[in-house]
Amino acid sequence: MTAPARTAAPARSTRGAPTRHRGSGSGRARSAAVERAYARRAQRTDRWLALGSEPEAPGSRARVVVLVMVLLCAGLVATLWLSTAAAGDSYRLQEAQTEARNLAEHSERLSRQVATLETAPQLARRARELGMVPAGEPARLVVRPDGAVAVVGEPTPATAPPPPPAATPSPEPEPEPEPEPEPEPAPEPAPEPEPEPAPEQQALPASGQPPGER
Amino acid sequence: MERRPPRAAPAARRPPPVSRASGGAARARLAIGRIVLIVALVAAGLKLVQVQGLEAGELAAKAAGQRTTVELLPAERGTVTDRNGTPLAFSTEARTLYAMPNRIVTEQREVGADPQAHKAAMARRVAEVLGGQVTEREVLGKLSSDQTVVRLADIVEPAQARAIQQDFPEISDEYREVRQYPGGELAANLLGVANWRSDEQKVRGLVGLENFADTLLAGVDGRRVVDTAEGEDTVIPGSERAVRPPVPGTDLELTLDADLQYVVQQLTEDYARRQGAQSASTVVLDAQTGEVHAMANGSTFDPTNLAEADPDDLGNVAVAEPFEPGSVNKVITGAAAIEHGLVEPDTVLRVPGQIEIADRTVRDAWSHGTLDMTFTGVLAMSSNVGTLLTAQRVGEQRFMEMVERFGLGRPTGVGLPGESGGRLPPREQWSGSSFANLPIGQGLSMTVLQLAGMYQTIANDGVRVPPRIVRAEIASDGTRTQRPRPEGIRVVSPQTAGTVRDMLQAVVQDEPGQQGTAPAAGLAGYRIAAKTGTGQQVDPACGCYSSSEYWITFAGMLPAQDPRFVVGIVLDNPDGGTSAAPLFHDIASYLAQRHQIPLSPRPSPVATLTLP
Repeated sequence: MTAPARTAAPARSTRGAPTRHRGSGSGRARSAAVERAYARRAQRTDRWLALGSEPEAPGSRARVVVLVMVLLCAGLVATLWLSTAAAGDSYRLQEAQTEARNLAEHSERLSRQVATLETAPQLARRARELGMVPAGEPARLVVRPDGAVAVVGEPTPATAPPPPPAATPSPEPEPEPEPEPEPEPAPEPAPEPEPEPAPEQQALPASGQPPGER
Repeated sequence: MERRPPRAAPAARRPPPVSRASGGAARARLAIGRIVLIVALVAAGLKLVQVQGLEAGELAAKAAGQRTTVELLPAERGTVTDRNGTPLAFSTEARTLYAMPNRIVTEQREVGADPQAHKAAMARRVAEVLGGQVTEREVLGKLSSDQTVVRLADIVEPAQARAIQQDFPEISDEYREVRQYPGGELAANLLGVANWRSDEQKVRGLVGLENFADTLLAGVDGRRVVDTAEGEDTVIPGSERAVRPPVPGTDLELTLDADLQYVVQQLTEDYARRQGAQSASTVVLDAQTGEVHAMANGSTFDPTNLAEADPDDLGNVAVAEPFEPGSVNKVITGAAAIEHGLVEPDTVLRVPGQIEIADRTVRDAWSHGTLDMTFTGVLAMSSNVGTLLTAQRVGEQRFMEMVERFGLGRPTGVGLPGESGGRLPPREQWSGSSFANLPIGQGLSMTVLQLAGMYQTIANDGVRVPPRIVRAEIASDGTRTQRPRPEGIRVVSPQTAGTVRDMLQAVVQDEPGQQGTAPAAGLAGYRIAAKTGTGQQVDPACGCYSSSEYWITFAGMLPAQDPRFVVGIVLDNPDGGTSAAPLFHDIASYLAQRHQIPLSPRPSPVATLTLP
């Protein structure tokens, strides 16, 4: 429809140019209109082209939908997986905590036992059960500057103390008092060999009080 | 194409006459639908207002109640250790088991089982797991009672509780903290005891240091709010909120030495029992620092078995019960006289058999005519007359100044509850005979801790360091804060202290004719400075001094030339003729061994006590 008009229009203008003088001015105006028409047609063609691409639309939209669905599914799976993992971890955590608690309880029980067995009353009781008795008062050896050794105090064998009147006497086997080792001259390399420290004995007692009396 | 729109338009606007009846029905349907929708909307709206507005709080609370669990996070009570880190008191965790007999019956009937058989099985299992703590019969008895809730066992280890609950989930448990005293009676009077308070869900100190330092030891409980799966303890991840972590209690490190404490406690208890004393107490102080190494009483209690403890034994006699010291107080007169240069150790005093002051006649413990005694002899033989003669030269004013500087009349601030400061009559209230009593240790009272403190002053070259029992605090993050040592108080000059120490060595002197009052306190190879005392007790019947009941006191230090330890002893009304010197001897002997105190290079010089 428009194509013949386009081809006809210049013919008509060239043909009618001598007869219609004002045709030159209107011809200029017509060409502007034509240009506008071209523009419009181009626009229409664009629209046509745009519409013409519609047959492709179903495929591309499906892709988008699939993509979104995949994303959603992935998100859902991830969420599920994460929450399952979290829940599973929380059970594992609880298991670990249970184990830690059991071990802590065990260690607490053991340290309580140790603390109890380490105390002085328990040690004393166990020593008594083994037949041990308090050592009593020791005698001490003093090495003089000249190498002589003096015994301070009276070495006495340890004996079981008389049981306290109110307390029940513990079953005590033979105490077997171990006598204090006889004071020997100290192995100090004395410049002169001191054969007998005996005369020096009792050189230093602070008082004549016999020790260990009760 | 052109005909269709005109046909369609009238159809929409004006339905054909044939469909007029059905059109009315459609309109009615529409109207009804509209009304139904509106009603539903309004109903929903109202419910919304009700749920979200009116009952919101209640419902939210109900929902929260179904899953929200508030968990108490108990703070662990601090440990008390001795100076070497040996634990004296610490806490452990336990459970208390409960059951609801009525519910057990209902539940068992529901499943068609025999409740009695179930209870019997339950009792058997509980008794089996707890092994001796409760008997099967006891548990069954409790389960058969018609109380709503019965407590099956008080203190059960968590593992045991779980073992029982695995078989019988209907047995419920409750957190419980148990205070352990591994040493039993060891230092029990001093530590006191803390026990579980079910109303507070916490262990609180009842007596002693546990009570005195309770706020420090207890810590602050924490709490947290979590969502849990219904019927389970599994916490929903990420639901934890409102967490307030618990602050564990502070650990206390005492100045006590547990081993020494044990020995001193044994010796004191033994000796008190042997001598028939109503009570006894002994304190061992570090001569330089005033730290309490041991503090023992004649009778004590077992903190792990509080039910059987005698309430009278719960206190700490050593700080709570003052006594009239008797002659151990003469050291004040001695120190004042030397300090002011009134006498020298070898100054000879003419001591008559008796002295009259105001309305009182004071004699010595042994009758004698006028004697020529050295001042050392006055102290060593504990002459009342000689002391009062000297005290009169010192004067009331200077005497009282010295008494106060020695720390009498007010508590030492050792850090133990119920501490008494003793009684010291102010000078305004003195009667004429007061100055006949005070220098010889009557008419005033002191605790054995104050007594030891007085001799610590002499031992520490005249500087009194108030005794302390807590050495350091260890916070829950492990930072250790040393308690500052109290500032020393200069009481006498170092020279005076040294002179008094020299004089006091004569107390244990055992020379023929020149015997001190306590040769039994001597320790071979060591120089001992000590003083004996006998204080008359007040007879409540007549309000006068009894002539049969006494406090036997003793204070001593070793080694005298460079003292390491000071020991104070009091025996309450032992059998007649008892001296505390043998007890001091035994304690001193142990101290010398335990701390490997070197022997004194030379024995104490023999002092002349009386002149012929």
